[in-house]
Amino acid sequence: MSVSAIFLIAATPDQDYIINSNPIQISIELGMTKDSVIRVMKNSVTKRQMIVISGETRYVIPTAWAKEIEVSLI
Amino acid sequence: MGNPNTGKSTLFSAVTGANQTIGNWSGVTVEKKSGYFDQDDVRYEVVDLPGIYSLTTYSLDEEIARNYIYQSSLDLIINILDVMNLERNLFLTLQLLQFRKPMIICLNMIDIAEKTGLFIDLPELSRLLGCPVVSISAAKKNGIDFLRKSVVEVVNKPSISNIQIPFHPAVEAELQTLIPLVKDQANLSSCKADWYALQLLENDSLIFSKASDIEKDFAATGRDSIYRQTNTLPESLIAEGIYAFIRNVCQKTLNFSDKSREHISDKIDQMMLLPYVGIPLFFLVMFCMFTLSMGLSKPLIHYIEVFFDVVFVKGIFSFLISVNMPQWVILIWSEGICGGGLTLACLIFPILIIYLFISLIEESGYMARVSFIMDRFMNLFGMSGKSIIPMIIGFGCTVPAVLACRTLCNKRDRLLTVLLVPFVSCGAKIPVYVMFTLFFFPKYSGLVLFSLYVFGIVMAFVTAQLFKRLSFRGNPSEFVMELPAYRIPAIKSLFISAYNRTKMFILRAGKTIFVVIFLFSIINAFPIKTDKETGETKTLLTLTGQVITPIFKPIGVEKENWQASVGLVAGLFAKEAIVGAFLSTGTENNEGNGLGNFCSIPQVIAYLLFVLLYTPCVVVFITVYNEAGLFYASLQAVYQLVLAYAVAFLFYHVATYILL
Repeated sequence: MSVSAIFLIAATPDQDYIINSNPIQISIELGMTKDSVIRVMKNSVTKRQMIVISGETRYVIPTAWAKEIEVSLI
Repeated sequence: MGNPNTGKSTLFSAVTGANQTIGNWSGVTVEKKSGYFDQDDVRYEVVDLPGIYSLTTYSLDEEIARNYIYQSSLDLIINILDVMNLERNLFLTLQLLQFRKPMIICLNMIDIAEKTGLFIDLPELSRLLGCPVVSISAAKKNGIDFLRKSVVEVVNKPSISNIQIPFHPAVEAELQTLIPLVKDQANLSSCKADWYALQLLENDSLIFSKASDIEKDFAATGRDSIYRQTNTLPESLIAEGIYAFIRNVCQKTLNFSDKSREHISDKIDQMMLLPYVGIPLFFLVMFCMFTLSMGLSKPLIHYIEVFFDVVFVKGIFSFLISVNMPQWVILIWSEGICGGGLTLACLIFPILIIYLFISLIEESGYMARVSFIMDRFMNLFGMSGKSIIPMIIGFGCTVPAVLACRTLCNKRDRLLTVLLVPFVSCGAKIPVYVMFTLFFFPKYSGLVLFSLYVFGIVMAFVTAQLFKRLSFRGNPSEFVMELPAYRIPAIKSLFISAYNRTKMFILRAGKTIFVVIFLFSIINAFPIKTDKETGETKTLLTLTGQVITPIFKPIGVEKENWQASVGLVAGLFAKEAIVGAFLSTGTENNEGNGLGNFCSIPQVIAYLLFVLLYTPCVVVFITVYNEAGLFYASLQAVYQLVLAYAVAFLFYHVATYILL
């Protein structure tokens, strides 16, 4: 993981991030591919689910995914 | 076919004239539906499939769609895309194009796109993808005729896209090795070798199951080689390759005139998704649904009662007496037919209001939000937030609610939700509740109705806790779900949807109620035994009712109230039949068609609790059997019967003791 990279779980809501790596196949098929832009809308480490914006779509995703998706602030 | 919530069922209804259920959330359609349209004197069959994001499947409904595409001999795929989410939607499109079947790409919601400043170069998109592209607005039925003509053209003169997606060099190298090896098997499966090889590299379960051992070995070696070279799974590399292609296509064909579009949905969600706003709001919506359904209906019900009384009961009753009709015909008419008709007429407004609320929740986009809001709460009881969707559908009918459980990816969550859905009172129980509450609690009917629904849901959560401890151990699975943009549903569309559902319900309930009334009235009209001491005549139904009534005595059903026992047995076939049983078994001495035989309020409430909780109807049993197997269907039937008996017994005795 590069110095500026963080996992999505730690991302600040309402800021755009670029995906560095994503091992979750389902999310890749939904467009959360490497180099795509992602934004957190609702996040809480204590909850099981969070909301992200990828492309034009809002998704409820498991917080567990966000612990594996590596992102960098644009 | 297409992604979830792209308007497939709306388009299907527009093309075929069918009346498919639609909604603004993912997972409205969970099974394939067929319809037809005629063009130039030729009949075409159209199949509506559940929505899928890709050909990789994660839930049962997705599997139905994927398997249909793989296994049926279709002439043409109509791929419907939500133009507002074009990039994500094109992922499935490109997977389908690689399948090398004739295809039409159908861009839906083009009217919304134009309003928001999104313009698409359709000829260029068609050229880049190698297949016809048509733009439509399924909801407004714009472009449907052109689509029908395009379908006919492509079916008569099929053209197949020869699009080539450049993948990572490591994937390309392995594909070149695999393609010659799989040619024969691909031919046997009626698909192209390049697509077959790609599916093997992607580890597609269905294709893998068909492959020979040699093909599997080569695919496994290829996958290992790709992973060693790139440190990435081949399926991820393939998906990334497709998205790279899509972004290139979008760059060349899409034009946003206003890139700083504000999302009103996001602003609403900032408020709605706060737990201390979202959860109370959800309960408030539910409370309004039930109290308004009775509150607003009551004045109308009064006028319906007056109308029925004057026209049908007094008017025709007097006529039947004047022409000296036999007593049993008069009894069937006044107690059975008029009673049944009146009950059905009184149901129209409460049911219509409940369906209006359900349509509003479905079409506004609120349904998906409820899953997110309720996830933490549902998790306390070992359930996933997504389980709330089948439960809301269950307010209408339990059968589609059980089918909606297919959208739950995890087997544990799916089975648990299937077992809990019948605790949500379906529309078929409303006739019973309405008849009882209007008769015994006319002033508080809305509150009593709401309390019954709440109690059912509470029992569902208690059962969830119990099952979680006994056999459904572990945590509910996390889920992924699209949050559609909020839409203000057109009032007309809401009323049409609610009207259609109410009509279907009234017709179905009407059939059951009238058939039961007719059969029971006939059986009850002819005495088969006369008591020598009292001179009282007894019919087959009276005798049967009196034989089974002792079983229900502990829950407050007295010997004279044998109609209540007959109703419960009839309710096993359809819950509306309970109403039919009461209406048809009334006697001249029975005020309220048998309802007058309840001696106390504890008896009434214990009976309603039993109806609320006991074994679901036979159609639900069959549906659960098909979805979960005989064990779970039987478990549900027996568990609910025992629970209903225990709850009604406890309530009756405790309430009677307190009141004494």
